[in-house]
Amino acid sequence: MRSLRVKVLFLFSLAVLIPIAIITFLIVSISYRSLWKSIQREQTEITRRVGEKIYSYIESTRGIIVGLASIEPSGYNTGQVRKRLSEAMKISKSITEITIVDRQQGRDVIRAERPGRYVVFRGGTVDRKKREEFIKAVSENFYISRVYFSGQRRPYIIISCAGRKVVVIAKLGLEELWKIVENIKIGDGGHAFVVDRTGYLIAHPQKERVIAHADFSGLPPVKEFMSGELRAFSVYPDEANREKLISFCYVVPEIRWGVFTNLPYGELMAPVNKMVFQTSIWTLVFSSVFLFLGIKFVGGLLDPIGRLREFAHEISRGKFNTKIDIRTGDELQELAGTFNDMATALHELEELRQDLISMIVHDMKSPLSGIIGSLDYLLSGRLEASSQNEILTITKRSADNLYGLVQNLLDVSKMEDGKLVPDKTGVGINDLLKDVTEQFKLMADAESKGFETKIADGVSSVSMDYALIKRVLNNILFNSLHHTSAGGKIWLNVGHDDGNVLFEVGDDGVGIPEEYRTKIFEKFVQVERRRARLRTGTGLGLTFCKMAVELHGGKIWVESEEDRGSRFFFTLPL
Amino acid sequence: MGKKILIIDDDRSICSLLSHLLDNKGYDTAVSHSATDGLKKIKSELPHLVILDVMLPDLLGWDVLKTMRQGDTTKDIPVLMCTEKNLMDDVEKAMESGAQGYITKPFEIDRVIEKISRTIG
Repeated sequence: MRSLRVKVLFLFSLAVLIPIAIITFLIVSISYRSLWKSIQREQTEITRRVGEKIYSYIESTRGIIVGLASIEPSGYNTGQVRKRLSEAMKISKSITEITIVDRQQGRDVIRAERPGRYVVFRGGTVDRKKREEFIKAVSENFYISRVYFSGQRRPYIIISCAGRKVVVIAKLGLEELWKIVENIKIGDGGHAFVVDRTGYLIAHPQKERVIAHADFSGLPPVKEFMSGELRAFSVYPDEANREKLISFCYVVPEIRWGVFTNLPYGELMAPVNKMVFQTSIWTLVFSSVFLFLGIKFVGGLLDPIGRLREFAHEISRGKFNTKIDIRTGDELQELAGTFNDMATALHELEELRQDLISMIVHDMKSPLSGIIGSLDYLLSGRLEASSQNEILTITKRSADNLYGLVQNLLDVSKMEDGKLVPDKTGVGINDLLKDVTEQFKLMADAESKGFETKIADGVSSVSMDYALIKRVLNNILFNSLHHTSAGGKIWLNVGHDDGNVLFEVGDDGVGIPEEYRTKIFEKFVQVERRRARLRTGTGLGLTFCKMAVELHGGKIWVESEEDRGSRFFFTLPL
Repeated sequence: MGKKILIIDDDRSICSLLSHLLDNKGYDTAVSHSATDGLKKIKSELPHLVILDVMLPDLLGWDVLKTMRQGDTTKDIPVLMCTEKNLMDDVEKAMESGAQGYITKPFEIDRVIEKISRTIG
């Protein structure tokens, strides 16, 4: 059996916990997405800024070089050219060397260097015709080399730019770029790095990796960058495969370097995870609170029900004399009240039942005493033969009396169950009355009571169960006999009444108090009256009469006046 | 004529049996089946002994006894109460209300005769 507690809790959980779970899920997923988007935007922005810084760094150097590309070959050795070169190197401290090459001849004309604090000039004879920086500058106007390292392991790139007459080639140190990469802060555990278009490392917080000329082209985000299929971000495990990294990329315009910002995935997701965690905790707290309330509510509901069940158990075990006290102020209290009423009613019914039994037993004991007494007398042998017949008649009468009581009882019970079917035949009223009154007349005479019968004209025969109606008449007649004093009168009249045959049995005896005149035929009222020591029928005699008459479709009632007598009437349909 | 005994009991058989029994013993018996009728007969016939049943259709035997004890002519008439066997309440009450004794139903004839003769000789 599934308990009500489980069912109610289940419903309660459905009603409360499911909405909570859905709302939580919605909140989490929406916040998760927006949080993730804002993080992504922020990170993309950081990457872009790093990239733009690098671009402007390169751009400013290019501006300087482009400015120098307007130099005329005729004035190579003039102080003016030297001045322009040293000024350029003063503007950008990262430029370590500028060489002016004759575009036509492909040979160095003048070179400014900065070995220490000061700029020195050298004339040059280096043939650049086959050098990439020269060829590319001439063909594409502008060229940026890959990273090289000087004798002191200092990284540099070569930027060249072609003018009309000359090609300017500059060595640009990358320490400045490194500083940018180093100084940029990407979260707590993140870093930025720059690779050139072939995947070689240009800048990285770990300088030694740049110096070692690390090839990053195998790294998933760099691979994507090189293939040109750039995504907003990519996630990949770090080299030691310890944690996942999330990488954002920005491609520097024109020079096409890749700027990457890497952030441990866990750190990036920390706020998202924190939110999810906190939401889960709160959901758990709310769910627990609601579940606790639910359990309390169910308890409050079910405890009285449990008590009611206990109570019903008690009643079913026959303890009607108990009460249940439930003060919940709701339907349960009403139910308990109904239970109490039921218990009270059952208690009363049980008392009536016991009284009915003791009344019946008492009624039976009386004739039985007569029988036992008579037999005792007969057995004593002190009796003359002539008296034996008399005593046996007394015994027979007691036995008949007892049989009548038992028959009444059985018939009442049968009629209550609707199991008694009257065996109707046409009965002549004269025959019936003769049969009933012959014996009764003797009894009445013996007690010095007058008895008369009268049959109205035209009443001849009625359809009835002969045995039942005979007993009805006997019951009523003997009831009258018992309640009449010596010298009193009893009569039996039969007449017509509105399509019925009307029987009247009257006496001038003690009469019946008014409050009992309608109830005298009820089974339990006999008991009440017996308790009140008032006039009763013989056992269930009158109850039997009422049921038997009604079984025939007739009616029975009594008219009475105290101390003046009673008149019992009953009808049988013609 | 023997001594007069009035039996008041609504059970006709008991009355017939007792009166037969007592007639044979030489007593003169009369019966009555209700309290009102019985009281009338007590006053008119002034019997030597009354055998009185507790449960009567109109009144209780106790009420009859009480009325008897209040009447000048009837107050000294001895009474045997007729009670249910094993109903100790009734037995005690019989003694308290001034009855001379009690007999229980169903009768044992010899005991009844013995009690009657002991009461009125």
